[in-house]
Amino acid sequence: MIPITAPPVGGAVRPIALSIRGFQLMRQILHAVRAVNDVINFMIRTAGALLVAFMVIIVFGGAVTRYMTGIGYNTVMELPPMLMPWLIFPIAGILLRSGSHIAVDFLPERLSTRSARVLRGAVALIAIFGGVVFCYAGYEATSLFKTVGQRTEMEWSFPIWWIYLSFPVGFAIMTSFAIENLLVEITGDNDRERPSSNVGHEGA
Amino acid sequence: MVPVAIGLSLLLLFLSLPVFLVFGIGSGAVATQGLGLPWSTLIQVAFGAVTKQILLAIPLFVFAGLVMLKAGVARRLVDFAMSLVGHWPGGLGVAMVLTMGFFAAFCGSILAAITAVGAIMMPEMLKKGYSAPFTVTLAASAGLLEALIPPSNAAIIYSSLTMVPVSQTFAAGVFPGLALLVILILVVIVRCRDMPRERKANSAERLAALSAAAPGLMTPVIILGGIYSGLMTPSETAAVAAVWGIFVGFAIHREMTFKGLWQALQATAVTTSVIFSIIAMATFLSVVLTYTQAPQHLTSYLIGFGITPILFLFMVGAICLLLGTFIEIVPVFYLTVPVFMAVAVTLDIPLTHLYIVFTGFAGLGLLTPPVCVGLYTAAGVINLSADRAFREVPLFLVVGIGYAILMIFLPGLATWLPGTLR
Repeated sequence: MIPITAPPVGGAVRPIALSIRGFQLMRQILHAVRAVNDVINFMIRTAGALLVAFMVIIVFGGAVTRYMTGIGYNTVMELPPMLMPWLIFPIAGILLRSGSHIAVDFLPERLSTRSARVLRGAVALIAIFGGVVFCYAGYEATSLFKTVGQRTEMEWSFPIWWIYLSFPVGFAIMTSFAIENLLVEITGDNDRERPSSNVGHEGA
Repeated sequence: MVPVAIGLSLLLLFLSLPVFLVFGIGSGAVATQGLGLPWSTLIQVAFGAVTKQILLAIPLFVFAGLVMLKAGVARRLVDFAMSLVGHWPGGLGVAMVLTMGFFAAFCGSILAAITAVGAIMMPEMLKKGYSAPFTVTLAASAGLLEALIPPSNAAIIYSSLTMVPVSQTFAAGVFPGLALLVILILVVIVRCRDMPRERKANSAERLAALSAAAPGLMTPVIILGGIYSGLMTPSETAAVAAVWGIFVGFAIHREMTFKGLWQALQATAVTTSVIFSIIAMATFLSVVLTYTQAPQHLTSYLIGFGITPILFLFMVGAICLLLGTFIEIVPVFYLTVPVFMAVAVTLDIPLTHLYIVFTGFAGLGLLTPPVCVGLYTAAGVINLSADRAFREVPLFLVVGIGYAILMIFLPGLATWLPGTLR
């Protein structure tokens, strides 16, 4: 069924005539974005799990080596924290789809279905705005650190912009998932079963 | 500038934007547009915050907890707790609280503990006639034990904000955690005194249960022994506990599968991202606070007002309770600790005591609507609408507030052990 109205994001609900052609085009864009995001989602989750495994192995290995031989390697302690940004920002982007982020859902629970949809659209729009701004800011910061040629002050030194790159990459991914969320709210095409994150959001 | 940052953040929060974006957009806008700071400075500070060595322990403890869950440790801990206290009035409820206490000693994650222990105990309690709202609210309340009994993610985050060593913050939570454990057990005994009792386990049964639960019970020994013997850092003990959990799961209990291990790794990555994305973006607010010298202004104002340590702790408690109603402990810490730490130091309040007051009050947010994640998680385990569980919340909220106030007046509970272990 094709809805003939769509809520304008961020304002009062009023009918917007969407031609069938325009609507179909939007759905096609949504399906294309979803297909891309599915691939990103799989890759990032796999990379995230491997990063966690690497951290456990390297920290455990470092502790055992120090205990057995009495020799401690600084890299073992210094490297895992430096990898954290690559674990945080890319996954933070893909979690927009499953809604696993911590948020206050006081307002959505009190709105009608239609109003809640408008609100979700508005949230997606703000997320797109934030994603673009942070992606650009991250790109500028990464470029700055690349130009300056700053390196990590670790036993195993490498260019620090390798780490900072996770910020623009993560927010570019987030923007892509926020666009998907916005298109879902506009087209109402949310009947597809979304991949679950396996866990809900997790506090301290 | 600070009121603008807070106002904008509250508006975005109310609109249900993810908390990390609320911090990022609200404080980032004020820092860059109002204070004229470059983005590169903010991003540098954010990266400095998330790459702190101390915080590495969080994903590792989360992973250790999830591995223990997949290794079948929870079921055995429940059996052991049942063999000890199952015959008491409200035995099943007491056993759930006790198991949460055991679980808290190797898992830093509140919701993982509620899910792991609740999934075993809650259906059993319902079968034996305990009311669903009581069961759900008890599980959610016992979740606070995770934030107090070491190792706790809340303690690690507090340490990263205050520079108090993690070993001190962990030690600060031990007696307050045990006090909460005792209080919750008393509530269950009084509230469920008329419930039918379970058969008392004999010595052989207790020994068998202890033997089965021993690998799980060894984990806190590894963690706390490793830290307090000085052999390992908290991150290393977490990694060792995780590897121990994998060994237990594959070699001893034989319940772990490679699929389960992979799921634990993925879930850890997701949980880490959720927590750390907030930490990263909350530093934007810290930058705004630093540049505007808000904590110093607040300290001068409160000292000029003649505030006493007790009055200050009550004020902190009220603010944490209010904030905890809407957001979880991690963002509450990032909003309040940098501001109130300066005042506490000026008033000679030990930071370990402040940690317990913060956690005691903010942790009640597990129960208080609208964001009561503890209640929602526990209700979700038995497919109960959280709204139905609300009728038991007032009892546990009163108990919780009473407990938190007790912690204000008993600083020794939080400061004695850290002082002894120093």
